[in-house]
Amino acid sequence: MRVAIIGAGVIGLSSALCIQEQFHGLVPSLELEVYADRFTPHTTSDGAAGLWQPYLSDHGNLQETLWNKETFDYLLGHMHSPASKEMGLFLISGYNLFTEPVPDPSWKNIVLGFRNLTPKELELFPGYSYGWFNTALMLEGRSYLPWLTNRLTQRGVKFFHKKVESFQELFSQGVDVVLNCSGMRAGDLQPDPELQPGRGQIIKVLAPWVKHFIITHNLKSGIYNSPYVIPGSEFTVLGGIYQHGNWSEENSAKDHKSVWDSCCRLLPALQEAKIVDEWSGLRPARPSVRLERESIRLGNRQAEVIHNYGHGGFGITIHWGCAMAAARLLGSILQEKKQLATPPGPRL
Amino acid sequence: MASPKVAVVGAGLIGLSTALCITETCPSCSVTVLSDQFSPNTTSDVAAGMLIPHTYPDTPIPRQKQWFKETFAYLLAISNSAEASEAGIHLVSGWQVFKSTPKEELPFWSDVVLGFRAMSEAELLKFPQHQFGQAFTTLKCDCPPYLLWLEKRLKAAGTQMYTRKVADLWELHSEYDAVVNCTGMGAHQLVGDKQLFPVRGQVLKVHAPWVKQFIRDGDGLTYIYPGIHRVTLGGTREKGSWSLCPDAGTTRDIFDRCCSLEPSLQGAQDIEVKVGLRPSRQCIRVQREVLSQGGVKLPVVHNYGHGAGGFSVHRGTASEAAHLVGECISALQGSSSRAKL
Repeated sequence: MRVAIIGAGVIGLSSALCIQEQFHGLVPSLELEVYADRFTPHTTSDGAAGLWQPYLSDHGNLQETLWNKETFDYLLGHMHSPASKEMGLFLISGYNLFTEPVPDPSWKNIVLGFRNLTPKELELFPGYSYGWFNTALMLEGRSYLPWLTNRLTQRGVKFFHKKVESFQELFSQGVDVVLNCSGMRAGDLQPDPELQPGRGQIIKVLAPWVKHFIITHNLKSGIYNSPYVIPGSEFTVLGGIYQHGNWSEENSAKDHKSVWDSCCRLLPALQEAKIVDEWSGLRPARPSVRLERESIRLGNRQAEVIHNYGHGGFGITIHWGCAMAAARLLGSILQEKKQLATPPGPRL
Repeated sequence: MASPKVAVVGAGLIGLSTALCITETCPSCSVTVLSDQFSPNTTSDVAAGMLIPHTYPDTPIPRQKQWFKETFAYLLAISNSAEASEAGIHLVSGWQVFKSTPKEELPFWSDVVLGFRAMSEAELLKFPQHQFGQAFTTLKCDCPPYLLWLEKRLKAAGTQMYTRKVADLWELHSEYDAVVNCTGMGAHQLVGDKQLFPVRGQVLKVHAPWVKQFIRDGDGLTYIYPGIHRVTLGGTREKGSWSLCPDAGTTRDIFDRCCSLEPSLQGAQDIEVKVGLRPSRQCIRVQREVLSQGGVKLPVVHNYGHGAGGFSVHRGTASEAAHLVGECISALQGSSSRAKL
């Protein structure tokens, strides 16, 4: 039973790991293979700051809120393990700032210590009159992806550095199930007009005195189009760009200035921060995550694809919930193909 | 008296901040700092510099609160300015956890720090040995940066600084019109204050940049304070111990206690061990005195005995001491104009 995962970002690798953990004992013939043209540190996930935080509103998509919660709880459970440092996982507190009162987010009870900001705290951020404080998690892609890769390699998962041109390509080689975790480039494998780039540009600086994340919101300009500052274990990420439909992965001088000026206005101390890098990436944005099975007729065979893409700017936030959902879909497929006598284990 | 000459003895946090306050409140004064040690070799350099007040048994709470409020406001303004990184001042959030619920759930300073509240059940799950906790945001002054920043401000104000061991305050009477005693633990010998006693503290300064939150056990013995480049792990409170030698067994013990609060510290690197003697007293001595010998007088202002709470109240006591220096100078000017009559 060969299962091929397309994509080696956070979605592809975590899906692979989740599947490996769930099924390795139950399906002795299971062979997992990861195909990607980009590996860490060159994936979209590597550019993300790594802060666990969903968008402000789930637009009634309770499924995604549940997946976010499953991810947070899973990561929190790893906080006391010695692996947390290697995973790039740590607790961090911070601020969400608004120019007007807003309803509480869907994730207020998922994070720790969620509360409104006090007047004294708001004085620190002129121009903002409302906000939240909470403790969340950071999961840094540049540590988490290598950690996932090591775990997968140890468990015999094979990696192939190649750009897969079609699902058929893999099926004709004898792959039984394909997990499509191709993120921004899913459209190359199967057209999806709902999948659009949400271009972001970030500046990486050295500002080790910054211990909180600060995310501002401009309800008119939309998510991530307002300055944000996210301190990592080594660098601090300055951002605030979200350009829907822009496919450019080149850094723009105009965006640089916008990010730099707005972040320095937010945190004057940043003026002394040393810039070490700049990066542009494309958030694989979609009205909702595509996480579903698709049966493809190939001659006299029925080939199965599990799609798991379109996580926008919240891939790290939602990844494990989606990985488990993808694993459940694989479980159904395996059952149908009589590879599994009964569904695996307790309710996933 | 055109330019009163003031000597500040001591170049730790208290000496430098007091000297700076004097230059601000008495611009005509000529201020000189004299000390046998400067940063990075002062007691202040060992401390983490967290703004979490120590309660002095013999000082009225309102006075301690005023000192803390003034210090907090002063540092908050710096932390929010372009000078923050140079001055080493930054905000940090975290938790103070208690193995059993304390008698006083709301400390006197709870409305001075930011966002103070009790920890939620979910947050306490991270600390299975602890029943109760407080979450808040406060400030941290990293040393040496903060002391070096104070020295820079002093130099800009025309203050001279000299390495000199002052064995007796009286030796300064011919060169200076007033003396400020900010000698911390040194006051034990310098002015023979037997109410002053050392409380030895050993700390570890480690590289663990993923630690963004402080964690402090309410007993004051175990704490994790993330600074700009290093995390301070503590500690000990050994009353009466004068030893400045790091103890290996204590290092192991501090590390174990901190790892039980924050297991990821097992991965900490570059462990540096430091020892400081907290200059402890039942109350901080901020007081005017006039020394006299053979008809010659020397006004002295004392500002020492901050023990475990120096950073939290330093600006408040510095401005009080500077005010007392102002009174000394006025008294001298009053008597010198009387002398002219």
